[in-house]
Amino acid sequence: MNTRARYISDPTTCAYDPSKEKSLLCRADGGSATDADCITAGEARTINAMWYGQTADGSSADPATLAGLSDRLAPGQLWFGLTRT
Amino acid sequence: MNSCTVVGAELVCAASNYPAVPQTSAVEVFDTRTLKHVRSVSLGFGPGSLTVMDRHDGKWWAVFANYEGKGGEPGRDYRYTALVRMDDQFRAEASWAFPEAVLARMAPKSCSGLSWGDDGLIYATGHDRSEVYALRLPEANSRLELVDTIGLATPGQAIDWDPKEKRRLWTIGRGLSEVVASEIRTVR
Repeated sequence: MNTRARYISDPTTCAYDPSKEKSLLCRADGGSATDADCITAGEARTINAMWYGQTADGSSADPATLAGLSDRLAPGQLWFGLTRT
Repeated sequence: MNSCTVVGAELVCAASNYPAVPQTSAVEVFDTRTLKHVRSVSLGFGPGSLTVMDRHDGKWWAVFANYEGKGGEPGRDYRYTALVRMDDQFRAEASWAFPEAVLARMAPKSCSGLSWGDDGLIYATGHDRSEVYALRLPEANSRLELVDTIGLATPGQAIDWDPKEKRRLWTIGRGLSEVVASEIRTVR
């Protein structure tokens, strides 16, 4: 990521997973964030689901697979998710 | 105004009345030194909304975008988006549809940026995704072929290759109202 310009240079290689970002997760969900802006584990899963795209059963793949950025739908995927920007 | 490219000493821009319908389009030309408007070529009603006018191999290459929902005309959604080759008088000579896999990524919007690369490929963007699609003209039939999808720092829309720096692509960052230069990898 180009932090100065606040752009992700190549979002197709971005596998960022908020559910593993301890500094953002609330303490009740295993994180270290104590302020009101902390995210819950459920919110982190929802963010990942938005990036992955709609699925028939509501599940989403591990961001490490980058399945949401393919130009072909994965099994069970109804449509493409949002690009990580 | 949707996108522009420099041709000689002129800035040639694709303009349309999006999101109004019926769709009308025009080519607006500006002096690159003064940025004063030089002339307008009205294309009137066409096969979509003009989002790109590029110059390559002695021809004009226009994209007529179509949309599902906002800005779309009844019976003509994003699948009807077309690349049109035109002569010097902006008369259509040939037309191609976009690859279905690319249209799916652009849906429900359309192609919003396109620029011929010096590698003989056509580079196109959609309306929102941070991706550029490398395409080529087919040897037969009328649908462009997808060669590669490359990640982009900015979310689509107007693009243009730098005329001097190889693989430098100029794009726009709408969120920060910036013009962004990116070094784009070669196609796999």
